[in-house]
Amino acid sequence: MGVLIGAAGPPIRLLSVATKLVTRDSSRTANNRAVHSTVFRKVLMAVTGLFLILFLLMHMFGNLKLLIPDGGLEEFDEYSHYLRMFLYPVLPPKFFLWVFRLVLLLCAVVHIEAATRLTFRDYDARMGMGRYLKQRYLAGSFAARTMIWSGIIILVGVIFHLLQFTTQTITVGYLGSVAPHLRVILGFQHWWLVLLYAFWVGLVSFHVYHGFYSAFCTLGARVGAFSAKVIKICSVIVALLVFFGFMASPLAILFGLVTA
Amino acid sequence: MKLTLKIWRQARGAAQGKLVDYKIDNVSEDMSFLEMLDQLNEELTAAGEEPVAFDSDCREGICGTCGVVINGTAHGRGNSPVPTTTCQLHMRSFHDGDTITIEPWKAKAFPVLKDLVVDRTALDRVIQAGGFISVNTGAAPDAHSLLAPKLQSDRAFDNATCIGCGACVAACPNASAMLFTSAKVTHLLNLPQGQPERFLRVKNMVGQHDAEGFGNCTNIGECSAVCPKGIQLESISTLNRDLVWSLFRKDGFTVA
Ligand code: HEM
Ligand code: SF4
Ligand code: FES
Repeated sequence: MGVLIGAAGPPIRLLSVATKLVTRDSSRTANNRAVHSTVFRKVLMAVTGLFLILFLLMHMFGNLKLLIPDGGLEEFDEYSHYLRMFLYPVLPPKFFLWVFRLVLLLCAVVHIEAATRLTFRDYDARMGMGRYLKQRYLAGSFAARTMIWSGIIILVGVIFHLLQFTTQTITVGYLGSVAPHLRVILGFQHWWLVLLYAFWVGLVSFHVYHGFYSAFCTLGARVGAFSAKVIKICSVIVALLVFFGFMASPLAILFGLVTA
Repeated sequence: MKLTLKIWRQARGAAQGKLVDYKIDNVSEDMSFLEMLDQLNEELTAAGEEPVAFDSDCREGICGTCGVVINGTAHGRGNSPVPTTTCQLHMRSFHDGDTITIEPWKAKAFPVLKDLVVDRTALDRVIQAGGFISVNTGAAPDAHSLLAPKLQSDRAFDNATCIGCGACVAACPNASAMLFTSAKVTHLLNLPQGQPERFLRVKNMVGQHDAEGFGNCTNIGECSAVCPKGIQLESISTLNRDLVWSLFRKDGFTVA
């Protein structure tokens, strides 16, 4: 972890008071240290996390097209097609889609890299598991303390999700390759798949609930008690929107409101 | 009242310690928590045992020397109805027959020196990295020569009340000292005297915070829940904002 100023030294420091107060690391500039600081890493996480949330919301509104009565299914396929042809003929076909995918991937990589380093650093700083023999939390949500676990499950879910609906490596309810809306409808006629997605989407909104709030704190938007409240309320709204927005179509399909 | 105490005992220089049970009787509810420990130490001394080492100085909640984790919360905030330091926690917050667990602050940056005493000089080094203003010595300037707007001076004052006790680090699930660091940054950036070194200060203090091995803030809020001085998470947000701003300033581009 680079040069540790002052903190390094023998594991037991008896009476180090006022004897060894080295506060400057002359090998790096202050600016360089700031760019590599935990705070800046959090800023990267916040920006990439918010971009991922923006994508989630876009994706969710697209999915809701399935629920439009009369012609919703065609509209869904058209939307799926439109994503591939966006800005054509200004740009080559699928160009925008690929740029967008690359940006998303980049965000995910930066986010996960920072999350991993953060988690290891924090584990180290609190000296591992079982810090206090008796521990009682007064503030902060369960979601906030388990971000890495919800994150890891989200990642596994995303891989499964892409294998199912994008590459169709895993198919549920049909064999071979079918139109986008059929992939969804045939799949979600199985209750266990709906349950699996409910669990996964639940964790996504769990992560988003603290993530949204945390990101705005990290970016410095929490300027007082009022803004703290506004950010908190918005994070609840966004989390609920993500959960019910994504679960609406699978549930409608399961209960036979939408059929092929 | 009669109490059972489970106290962390760690010999000087030892890498690990353990909880040891003590029984104590005749505790008055008007005693402060530290007076209760004093009584225990009197009894231990009389019985020829090693007394429990703990830190304290002013015993009126203003110096920041005291501080232990009581029943799983820093400064016993879970038992106290109001934000206090350990020395201002009173035994009336407990009941006859209670079992009280007492542990030191635990963080990699705060090595345990003995029993409940930890080395918090890491916080001093964070302050030394920039938590000050530089002024020429000489005659004191007229108090009104530098005007500070009311709102800003209030904010500066609220943040200046941090006593450096380290409870925020002890309570933070990530062992981050961001609340402490941000209190000083917010204190000084709200005052005209703090402006010349403002951007270099935030870079240097955050750099030192990280170098000391403190954790990474994830905006959980456990810190301000236990802070005896009521420093708010807004201060951390302020520090974050100032750090991002500072990256667009020329301060700190040369090796100091
Ligand atoms: C749909 C995907 C995801 C979204 C929308 C998302 C969103 C966010 C946001 C907005 C934050 C707050 C950032 C900050 O305050 O600086 C965050 C934090 C975090 N994320 Fe994610 N994330 C996603 C996926 C993941 C994955 C795959 C992992 C891990 C493998 C992960 C692990 C974390 C961790 C450990 C934190 C830090 C906790 C905190 O800052 O409070 N996230 N996420
Ligand atoms: S911010 Fe509060 S808890 Fe942290 S050191 Fe200062 S007074 Fe103590
Ligand atoms: S002894 Fe001074 S604050 Fe408790």
